[in-house]
Amino acid sequence: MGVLEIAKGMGVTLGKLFQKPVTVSYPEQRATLQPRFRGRHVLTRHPGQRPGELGLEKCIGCSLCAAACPAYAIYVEAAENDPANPTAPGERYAKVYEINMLRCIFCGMCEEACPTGAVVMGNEFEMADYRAGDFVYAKEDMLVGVTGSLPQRREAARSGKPVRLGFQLEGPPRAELEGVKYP
Amino acid sequence: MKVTVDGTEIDLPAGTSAIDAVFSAGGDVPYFCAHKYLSPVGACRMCLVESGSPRRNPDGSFVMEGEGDAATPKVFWFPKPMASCTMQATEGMHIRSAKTSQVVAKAQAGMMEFTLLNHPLDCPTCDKGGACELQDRAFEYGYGASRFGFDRRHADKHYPLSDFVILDQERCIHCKRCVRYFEEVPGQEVLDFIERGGHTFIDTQEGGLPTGFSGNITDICPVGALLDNVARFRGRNWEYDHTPTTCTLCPVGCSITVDARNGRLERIVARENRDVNEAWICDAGRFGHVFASEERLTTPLIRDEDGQLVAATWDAAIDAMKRGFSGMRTADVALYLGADSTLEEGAALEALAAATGTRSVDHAPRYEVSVTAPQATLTDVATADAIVVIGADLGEEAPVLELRILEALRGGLIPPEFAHGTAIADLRLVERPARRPERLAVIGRESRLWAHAGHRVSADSQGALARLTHPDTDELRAVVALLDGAERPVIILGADVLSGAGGSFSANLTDLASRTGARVIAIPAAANSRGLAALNLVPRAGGLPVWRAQEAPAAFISRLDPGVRAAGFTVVHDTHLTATARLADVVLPAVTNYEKRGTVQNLEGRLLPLHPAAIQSGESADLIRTLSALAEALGVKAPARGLRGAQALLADHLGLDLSDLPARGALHTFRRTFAGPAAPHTPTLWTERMHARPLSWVDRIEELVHSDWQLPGAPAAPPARAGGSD
Repeated sequence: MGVLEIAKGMGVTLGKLFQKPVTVSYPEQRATLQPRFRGRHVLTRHPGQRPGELGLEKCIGCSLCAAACPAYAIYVEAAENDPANPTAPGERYAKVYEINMLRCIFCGMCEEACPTGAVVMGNEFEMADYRAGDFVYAKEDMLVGVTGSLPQRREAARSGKPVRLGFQLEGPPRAELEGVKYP
Repeated sequence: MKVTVDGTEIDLPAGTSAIDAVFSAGGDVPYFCAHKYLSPVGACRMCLVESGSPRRNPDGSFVMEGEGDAATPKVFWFPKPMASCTMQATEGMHIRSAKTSQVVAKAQAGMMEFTLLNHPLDCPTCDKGGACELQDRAFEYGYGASRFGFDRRHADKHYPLSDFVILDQERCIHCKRCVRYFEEVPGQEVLDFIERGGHTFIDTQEGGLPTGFSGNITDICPVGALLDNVARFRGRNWEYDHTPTTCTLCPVGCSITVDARNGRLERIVARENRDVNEAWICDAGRFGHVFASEERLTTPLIRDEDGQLVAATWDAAIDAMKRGFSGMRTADVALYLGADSTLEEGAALEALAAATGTRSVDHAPRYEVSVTAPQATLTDVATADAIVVIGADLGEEAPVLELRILEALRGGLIPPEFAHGTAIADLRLVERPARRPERLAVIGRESRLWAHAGHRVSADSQGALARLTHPDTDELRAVVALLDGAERPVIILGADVLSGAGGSFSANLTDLASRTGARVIAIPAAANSRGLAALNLVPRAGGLPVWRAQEAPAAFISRLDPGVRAAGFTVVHDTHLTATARLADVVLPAVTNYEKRGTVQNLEGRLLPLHPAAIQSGESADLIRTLSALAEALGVKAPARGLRGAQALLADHLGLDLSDLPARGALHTFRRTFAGPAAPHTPTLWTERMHARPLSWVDRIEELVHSDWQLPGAPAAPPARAGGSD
């Protein structure tokens, strides 16, 4: 190996020194995710009748996501809608909808199985927590409008600051994530 | 009779329907309207097959095809596909199903498309989804896609026909199974088609369904039009743990499948048992399961310093029992059990009674008399040509026995059995069958069966047997003439005649049975009273029966609710905190019969197996394990510590091998039975704990309010919500 080869190699190093780095210093900086990244599930809603009004939940509690789930991470308990004050269109809604995020392998089969497009894989992924029980996400942790994972919202409530997500998208979330806005 | 199905020649008994011929040949035909125990009507037109038969010349020889030795009878094919459920297979018939015929496959796919035209396809919200005949057949025989681009028919959805059955008229595919069921099986004309063509819908005229046997229509509905309202939205069909077991609410012992989810008993459906319940069960057996998952005792309870019952461990309960029984002789502890306990549990208690030497042993409810007349089976009832029911309210005592009696009145035609199971279409069964009410005589109080009986004698049931021996009225003489003139007469005895019967009862019955050649069913007082009578579970000389439990120095009472406690220390073993349990010193949690493994004997003497369903019941234990805890507290050796030990006791004492009992059960007659004075007993099918208490909308909303559940992401809510717990 001659001096020339060493100089060539160092030349590459020198060239890279003046390029913009590809490393993102997460979590100080936000990572850029692709729109189809499969993160924490979102339970979407139908559009509201009037602006600002909440629409009905798309989930009808049919348990097909639970049937499709290869990791048996989903638990659904259905109940009958109150006709005067329905939760979801039709007769049936999900009274209990839980996903065990420790079991979930984020394969997206639930999203494929869902006949109403209610459960959609979102982009959030920061769910590290301390207790196994806290990884069971219920309806109120996943319905559209809830930003951040359970530990993130806990931290936000403690510090009084809004939830800070460690990622960003180039452009809006994909169309299936109806009503989802990432800050 | 030789029939060729899809090129395979098979031999079948005469009278077989074409659909059964195809199934016998190992083929498959889709069908919705045919049902094993209902008349075939050909309403759904799904079971289409191509068929043809040879024709005969005027001289009786077959019309031949071909020359010389190669000549075969010529098959004359029907020009169009035929409904196989209403067509009888004949000698030499050729049948082509969808497997070998493109015409049939196309006709069936087209028929399926018609059926699906107005079907709402709300499978995700439908409780039938996953166990739906329409879903399965559409997948197997349909086109796979709909070409129908217009608005579907709209009709009433989720419209309750009764507390138990909910109707969705949009989903109905007009197979008429429910209409035929009500007309043919319980003989009630309550449901029918209204309007015509595409507007046809199912409804009742006055609204409401009669209770008794209405739940069976939810089993036979091939779609989700008629559904179980008690199990509504409790789980999807693939999520349930299915356990085949035996119902022990009455002495019939119907085969059922218990569906549990997450440790709760959510649904019970009928299971076919040709010898016992065919395919039907009563409403109590189907819908009265709420008690199995509501307000159960899950831990032992002992008295604290203030005298209150508090939850405790089994060890603490055994210690409390040791303290309670200290200073007492083991023979002072009376042992009582409910008569729906299994044979194994009875054997364990009998053995423990022998070990402690107690004289006060009893099971309840039971009758004092034992019947020695020839035993009739349920199939005997269904095929009898004369039935006399004395002093029985079958609706309360043995509902499915009533269906078997009605089966006898419409001819006693039991569909034949093939290798593929009961005949799918028995062509002898006809719609609106002729009934023979003159074959049924009912003596005693008025009951539901009166409407079907040709001879009704309103008389005191107790004296009826004696009066039948010497008939003193024209009515009774007609009943005796009915028995005398019949070839296969059956006498059914109910609680009114068995409870408190004495004196000449046995002699009168034996006399009547031998004189008329009748077989007898004496309906036992409880699900396993008949089996437990083979064990020495009646008070010995000087012992106290259950109804004198308050005089016993100490008592152990298992799954009985006499409402009193013993004079001294009282231990109660029960599934719920009953009135008796509230008085007890120690309460031990028991399992229901849905959670037991064991054997019971039904009213015809058939041994039927129980299998445990996956129901959450905490630290509850069956009687065998509870008795070993009691034995420990009493300081004696437990005779059986588990099911195997108890079965060994049965094998030793009675020569009974229960290790491989067939699913259909096996008839068995015990040589010796024990009887003794018994308290009067009035059977009731429904108890208070069996009724569902549906959560109303108001309760449900209140539940949400109490759980502080908020609509997340509501505009008024702060942007960052506190989540979880710190």
